[in-house]
Amino acid sequence: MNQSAAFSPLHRLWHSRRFRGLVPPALLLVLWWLATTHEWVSPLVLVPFGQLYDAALDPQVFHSLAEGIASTFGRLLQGYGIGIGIGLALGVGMGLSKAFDRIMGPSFHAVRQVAILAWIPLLTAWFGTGDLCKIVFVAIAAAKPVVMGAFEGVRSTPAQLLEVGRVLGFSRLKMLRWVILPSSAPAIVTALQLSLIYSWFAAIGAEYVIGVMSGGIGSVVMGAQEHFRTDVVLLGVTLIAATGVAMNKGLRGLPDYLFRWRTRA
Amino acid sequence: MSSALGRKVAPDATGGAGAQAHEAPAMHLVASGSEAALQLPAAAGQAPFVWEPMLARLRHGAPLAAQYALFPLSVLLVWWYASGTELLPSNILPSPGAVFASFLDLLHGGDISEHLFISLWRVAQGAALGLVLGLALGVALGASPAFESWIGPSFRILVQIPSIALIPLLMMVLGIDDSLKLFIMTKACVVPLALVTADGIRNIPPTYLEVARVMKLSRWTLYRRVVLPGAMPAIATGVRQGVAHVWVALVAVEVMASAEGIGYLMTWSRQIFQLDVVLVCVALIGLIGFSLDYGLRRAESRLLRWRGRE
Repeated sequence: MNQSAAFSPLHRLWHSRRFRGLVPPALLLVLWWLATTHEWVSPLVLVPFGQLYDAALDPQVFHSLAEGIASTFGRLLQGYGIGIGIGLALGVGMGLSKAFDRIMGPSFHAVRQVAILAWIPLLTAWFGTGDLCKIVFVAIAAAKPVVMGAFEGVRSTPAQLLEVGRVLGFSRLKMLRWVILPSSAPAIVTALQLSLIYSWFAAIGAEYVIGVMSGGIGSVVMGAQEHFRTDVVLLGVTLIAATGVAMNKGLRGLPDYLFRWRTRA
Repeated sequence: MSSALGRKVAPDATGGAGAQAHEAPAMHLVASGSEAALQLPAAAGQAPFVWEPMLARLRHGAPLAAQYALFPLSVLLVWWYASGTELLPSNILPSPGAVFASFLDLLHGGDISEHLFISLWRVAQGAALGLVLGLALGVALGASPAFESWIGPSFRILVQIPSIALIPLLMMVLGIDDSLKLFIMTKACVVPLALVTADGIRNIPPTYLEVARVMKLSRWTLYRRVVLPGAMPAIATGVRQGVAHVWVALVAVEVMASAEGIGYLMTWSRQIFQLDVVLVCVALIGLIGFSLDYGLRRAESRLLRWRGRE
């Protein structure tokens, strides 16, 4: 490449991060297209683009996916609400009081060690395979990161701030309201946000395990998998993944936005 | 021991593993000494007699022990009461005694150890493959800006999608045999390890690299003497997270699609309403998760001991 070409648009494109980032997915799509048109693999495994396009426009498929997403979200929000309520109470309580930490801490950490999906067989036995079971499961999943975030946040309140509160003669409640909570708020909000994404995938996992009959996008996908509708599986999984990624991206700036007052200090 | 656990919690990694990549390694060393253990030497130094500190320990330790025991004991009591009075039928809530008995039974009958062995062997395979690939990917992403620019963006999207979400799709492509499990375990291990390793390499102080350049170190020596030790704390954290994820992922796949292993034993026992076995399995899964984490933490602090001397 000579000197003048070094600044040509083509050269700039080749070195742009955006272009380079798009290359691997584009290559993958080309490979996929080649594989389906030349029938290197069974269409049951890798769906041709045309079929995928048809499935995406099929009102029946669209309806079942949309309905699934809505019902999963309904349970997600209920479970998440319960989970973060319990999680905040536990985490803040354990952070504030050493005694409470000694009472609840070991049990919490023991429960935390259990891989999350291992709770499902037990929960289905106790709460059936309906909504209740999934809500309880999502609540367990949601509580985990919140407890840890709130605990860490409260524990890492700077000692100087606590001292100022003490000098000002703050009551315990005032201390909590004006010193500890503002100081731990960023950690707590980050935990809440992490917990939402974690709960989303936990809700999906529960629906996968519990299976076809239970409603929700996860069971729609599992049902399609049993009927070898690879196109629907692909659409569903893409939708699930994209929702998770979008939540992640959408919420990422939230702590910075909420706590911009902190940087002014 | 348990109070030490309480003080040191790292936020769980759900995709954003990079965020907590760098825990202070010193914390691991400090955390192993529980509060009671820390107070002991001081008390012993003050009192000349042997029994006095012992008495003080008892007096001081008794309420502490009561605090630790309060919640687990009350749960046990409620459980025992609820199952003893048939408040709940025994196939919904087996009594603590029955669970313990079935634990001993499974242990002697060999059923559980067989399934457990299968699961642990799978974990070893998944972790081995995942560690090699994750380390390679992490080093490539961290050390080569060109590689980062081509592969990094796709990788960072993939990171946000837990392998569990992809299971139905992978089941169609890979079937439900060992290849599915191996794939999911490997991905679960590669993601945190590669993220954290790449971060660790990128965060090596540029002055070190400059020194290496001035000394005209060969590429191999540079990696061996500068890059690897510099990224070691991050890599150790990544290995620990990676192995933990392998275990969680394996349990998930086994619960969903498997014909053997502890996850399968659990779902099968659930189907025939042997909840005592299910409870034993839940406890074992937790215990193994804890042991893996604890063992790797110990290995990590031992491996990184040289950093303390600086």
